[in-house]
Amino acid sequence: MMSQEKNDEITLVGADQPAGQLLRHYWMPAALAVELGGPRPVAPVRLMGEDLVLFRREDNTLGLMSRFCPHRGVDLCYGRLEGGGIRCSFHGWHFDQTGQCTEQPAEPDGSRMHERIKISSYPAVEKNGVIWTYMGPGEPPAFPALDCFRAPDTHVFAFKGLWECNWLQALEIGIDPAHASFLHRFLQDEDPADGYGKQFRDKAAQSDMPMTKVLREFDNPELKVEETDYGLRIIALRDLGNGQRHVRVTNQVFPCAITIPMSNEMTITQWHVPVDDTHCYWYSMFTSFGAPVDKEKMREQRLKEHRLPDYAPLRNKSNEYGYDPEEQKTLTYTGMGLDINVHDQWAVESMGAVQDRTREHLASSDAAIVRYRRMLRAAIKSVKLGEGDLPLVIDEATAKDIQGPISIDAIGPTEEWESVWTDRDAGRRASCTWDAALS
Amino acid sequence: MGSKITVHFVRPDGSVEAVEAETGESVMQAAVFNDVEGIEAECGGSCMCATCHVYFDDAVSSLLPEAEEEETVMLEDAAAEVRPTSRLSCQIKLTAEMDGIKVQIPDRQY
Repeated sequence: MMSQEKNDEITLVGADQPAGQLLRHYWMPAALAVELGGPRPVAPVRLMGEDLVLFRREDNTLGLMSRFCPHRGVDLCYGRLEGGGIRCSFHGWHFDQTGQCTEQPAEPDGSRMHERIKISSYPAVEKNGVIWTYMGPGEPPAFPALDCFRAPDTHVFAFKGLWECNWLQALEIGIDPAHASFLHRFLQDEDPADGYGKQFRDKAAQSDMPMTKVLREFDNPELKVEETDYGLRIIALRDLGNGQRHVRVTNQVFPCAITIPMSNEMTITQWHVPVDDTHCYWYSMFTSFGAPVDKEKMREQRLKEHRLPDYAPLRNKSNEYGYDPEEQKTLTYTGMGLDINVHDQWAVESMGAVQDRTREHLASSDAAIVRYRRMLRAAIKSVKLGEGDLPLVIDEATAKDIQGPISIDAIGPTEEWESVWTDRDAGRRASCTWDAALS
Repeated sequence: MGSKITVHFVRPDGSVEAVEAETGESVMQAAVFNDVEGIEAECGGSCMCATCHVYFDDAVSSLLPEAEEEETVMLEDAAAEVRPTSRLSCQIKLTAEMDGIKVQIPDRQY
């Protein structure tokens, strides 16, 4: 629980807001690469409250600039791609790749007005299916050597979805290991063989027990939270009662991402990216340590649930997320279908556009959220005072050492739980066809 | 709706922040709703987190209702030194007699 001022400080994302200023110190997903895949490589982007236009230049590099022309405010998405930048279709004003206005053809010869007009322009790069941008001061940090960036493109699938709520409550559901045993509880277990590409649908670790059963029957895990060089490692321990313990290792990657297991061979690294104060996109990178990802199948599964071009989920508040009280009696805890993404979406959206933390009562199962908020506040304070190091604002040399993070489900003898998960992960990396070794 | 009183929160460095509070609310609520630094109140007053720990001076301390077992047990987890005058401020309701009291904020809550 906190005051309104403190809640604003950690949630609002405008360029003049404390959280907005902190987030701008990091690379943020701006779009999926496929969004520039049409006949004309231009897409609108709204990121941290700023309206931008993303485009591919003639030299194949990426441009990201203010979306509305500084003349009369029309949409540069319909402009003409020229000279590394965009020419507005209204009066032909041209902006080069730095956002500098270079020409105003309807002005008199010799006019120098254009020299005083410049729009925002941010660097943009593509990595493994996601287009990233940096909207902060000075030079951007280096990308850490996370698995989702190290893996070859054949082994990473990227997708995104719109949630109609503030980014922070979206991030916080990802660092809340207790909720999976309730919100995502399946009252019956599907055959794990049908579970490709679906969270919680594989067998748990080396057992024959479906993960859904582990979560359902052992709903009170012990949580351990530790700070790391990338953010937090969160471990949920479930004693299975037969001398065995289930270990689930998830992670917070500062400031707004999580890395969680999806199946025995895949992990998900997921960013919660502010569109503005009341909307966000989750951007997921599914990384495989086994077979190359079946991108077509994974995209097809998800396009059944999302509309284009805005990747908004078809199940949403307007249709009650498909809520079915009969289903809630026999099949799912929520009555909202089998897609766990929808459950999360309901939870974070039903808190309200921005969760009112002045009325909150955190419990012991929120230990990771508590730790994360301390890190978040400390980072916001660092930016405000202009002193202290920010987590993951790193140079190339340091970035090489920030790997993984390990994210896995494992079962082993209760007393040996600490080696059980590291061994299991090492085994998975050793048999991986791409170099996933941790140094 | 209660009546207005003043509570003086004393920071670890000795400086004082006077806030307007209402009888019936807890000392913790008076701090959180006035944005007083140093009282975290993560569990929102459920006596579950020991991050609303404060010290009262001796005179006030003896006037307060005795701590219930739940509070005494939870106080053991407080991060800062636990003194005879330590209380969890979410468990202390403000009354008219407490107008003007001083409440000492410990050096840390975690």
